[in-house]
Amino acid sequence: MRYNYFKQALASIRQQPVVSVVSIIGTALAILLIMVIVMMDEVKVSSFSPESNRDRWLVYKYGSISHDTWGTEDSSNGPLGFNTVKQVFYPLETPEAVTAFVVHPSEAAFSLPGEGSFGADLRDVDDRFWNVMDFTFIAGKPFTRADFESGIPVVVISEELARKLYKSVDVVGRQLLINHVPYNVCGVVEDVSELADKAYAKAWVPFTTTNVGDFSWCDYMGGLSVIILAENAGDFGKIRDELTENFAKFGDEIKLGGWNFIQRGRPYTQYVAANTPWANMNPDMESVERGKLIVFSILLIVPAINLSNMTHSRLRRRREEIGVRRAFGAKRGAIITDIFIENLIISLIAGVLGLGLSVIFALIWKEGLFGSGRVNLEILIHWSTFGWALLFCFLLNLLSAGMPVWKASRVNVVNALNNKVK
Amino acid sequence: MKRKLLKQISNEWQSNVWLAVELLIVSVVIWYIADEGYTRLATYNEPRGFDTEHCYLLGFDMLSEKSPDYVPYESEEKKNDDLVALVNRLKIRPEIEAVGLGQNAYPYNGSNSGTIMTVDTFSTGGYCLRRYVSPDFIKVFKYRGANGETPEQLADMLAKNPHLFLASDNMFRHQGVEHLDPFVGREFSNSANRDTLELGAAIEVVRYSDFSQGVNSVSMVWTYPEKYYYHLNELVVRVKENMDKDFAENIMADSWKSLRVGNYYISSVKSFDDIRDQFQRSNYNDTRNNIVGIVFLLLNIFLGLLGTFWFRTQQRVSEIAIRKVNGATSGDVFRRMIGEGELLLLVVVPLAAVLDYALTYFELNSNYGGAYFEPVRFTVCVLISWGLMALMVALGIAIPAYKAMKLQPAQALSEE
Repeated sequence: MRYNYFKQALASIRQQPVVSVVSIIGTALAILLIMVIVMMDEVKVSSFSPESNRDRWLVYKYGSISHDTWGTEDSSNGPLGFNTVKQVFYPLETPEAVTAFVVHPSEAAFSLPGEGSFGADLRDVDDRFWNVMDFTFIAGKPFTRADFESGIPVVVISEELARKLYKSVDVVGRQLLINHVPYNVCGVVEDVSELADKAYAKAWVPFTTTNVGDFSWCDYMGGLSVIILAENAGDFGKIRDELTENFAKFGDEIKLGGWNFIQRGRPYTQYVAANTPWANMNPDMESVERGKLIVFSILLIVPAINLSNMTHSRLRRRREEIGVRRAFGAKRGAIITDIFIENLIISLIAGVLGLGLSVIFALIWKEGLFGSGRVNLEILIHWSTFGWALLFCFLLNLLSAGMPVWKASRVNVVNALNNKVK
Repeated sequence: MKRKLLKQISNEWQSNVWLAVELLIVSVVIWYIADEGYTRLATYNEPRGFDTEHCYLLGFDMLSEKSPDYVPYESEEKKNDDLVALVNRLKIRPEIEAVGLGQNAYPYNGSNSGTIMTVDTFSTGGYCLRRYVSPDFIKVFKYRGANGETPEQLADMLAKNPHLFLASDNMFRHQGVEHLDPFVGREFSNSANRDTLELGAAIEVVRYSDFSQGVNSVSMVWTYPEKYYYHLNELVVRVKENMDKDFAENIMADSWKSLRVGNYYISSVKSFDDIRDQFQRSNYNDTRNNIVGIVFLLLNIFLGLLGTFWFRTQQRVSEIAIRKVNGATSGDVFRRMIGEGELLLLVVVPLAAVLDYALTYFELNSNYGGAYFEPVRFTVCVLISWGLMALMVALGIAIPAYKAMKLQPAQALSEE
């Protein structure tokens, strides 16, 4: 006869409602907290619009440079100059696209001609930016290569900014002043969450129309970050090789002035970039992962001990049943599997509850968890989110049910049937 | 009574060992978080050394050549004159008390510059912040002298003699120099400019932010000669008390009129309340997340004890009934069960304290004032973790114990 796991699980909940409910709450709480942490991590790494291609891009946010006259430990670390971008990054042939943009949006003065101004975040980008990022245009279109190269003052603005300036989104061709320079609106896009930290701004202009492209303090370093979009992640190795080659060529040239680029393992994948905040340090993924392991272990082990105690209690009530099954020849392995799966079903019920609660929690408490960035379900939930939740449920179940189940399966048949406790 | 309790605990030793392990892990984790919280709170409450109330950061920029209003500068002096004129126009506004310029100098600032100041065999260890400012910057943030000099006196001193600089009183504390007084009037070498400067006065320690400890905040302040003001990129103002209302709006309204000089214009106004919140958001969030972590662990203990003792009560119905028949009051039953949990915790606490101590020994906890272990802090944090857990033990067991207390012996025994 097929063992009916669901019925058995439900029956066991009914039999011991308090202990069962307490274990479900305990499991759900554990999954809730773990999933909130997973989500906080995932928003930094997973793809969502307009950073929909995070899984196939490489980030060169900062560069590092040293000079022959500096001490051996000395380096200067920060965004790149346009010269470096043009010589090293734009010529790359393997990637699908390479974009350069100002590293942090700046607060610029926006106004309509003749009206008072207000501050809003402005990002200076190139035309390739629009191929790498995945913006949704409500009106108009991005500026072109020709616009970028000729420094035509055109701007793409967010829906929010369009409404604030014009009370409408149908504003392509209209004029506005950015830092008191007249620009024409060429497109309006849906608002972007600050969590998309490379794409985020309220308005985007070609950096050839501002001072950013010219800004440089040693010909090679300036205000720009670069993202290299590969056709697929499999090309990363090839791209790195090509980049190394380009840097070597460029290195020969800049060496004449005494300059040397330091690579620090760049370019980084989104995952490494998200965990390497400082420009002057090499990535230390080992310690990042060790930290995560400790947190997750504590969050799993503490509830597991609890649940283990309760599973143990529940199973003590079922000694007779186990005894009968054993007496009729059930194998220990079969009993272990059955109870284990039955317990897993309870864990999964709790897991679904925990995951649901974690999403609600994240949406309610978004400021504390994600800063000022907007979050929505597209940003929070990915297939991998479910995968993680399932994995943690399974681990929790393994930790909490493993020992009691193993012990229950070893009950002495005669004692169990006589309901002797020992 | 105690001996009976111990006997009872040993009878249930298997599940008690697990409970004890759980209490132990949680106790250490709570101690760790409490230790960090203690450090953070103590840091937060240290004197800041500056005052940002009624202060604003004015974003200013220069028109680019693409602007129709752009005026080409024939010399750097002309450029500097325009900036000085902008500062002067701000100064005469009735709501403004002081206007300062700075370079990586204002508080809660993501950017910073460093230098090494040396005199005789004394030298700044670690990172010494270099704040290059205009004299009035000191009035904006109200830096105070270590000997009670007012911000006005300090600003005056620097304005009169550009060769002077100010240093935080803790500059050489790592070399055993408590106060800088003996060095006032001495020439220091300044590595950033490869020149020397004379110490004008020692000032109270200016912390980098509310969450950075004074002991790590060593700094020097030097004023730029006025002809080089265009090198300073931060414009800060202090508004007179009760004049904050609509300040930002009024400035922005005039930003393209009276507050535009040559290519210079004001692009934004931010209050330091906002700058502080933004800069310290991650610190606030960390604190909050730690509290959530503690609550989660405490809830787990609550649930664990609730579940386990619920089951135990069910198992011990007959035992409790017999004790009641033999004269135990409901209170006795209740106290006995709570006592069982608290005794278990009491066994765990010294063990946990040993583990906590090991963490400090290996310097895995937070550092405050240069130390990982301080008897007072350690004891307070052990007591906090013990107290919180004792509370949870009592709450977790109270519900099943209450149930046990209400047991009717006659009924229980007849069921048996």
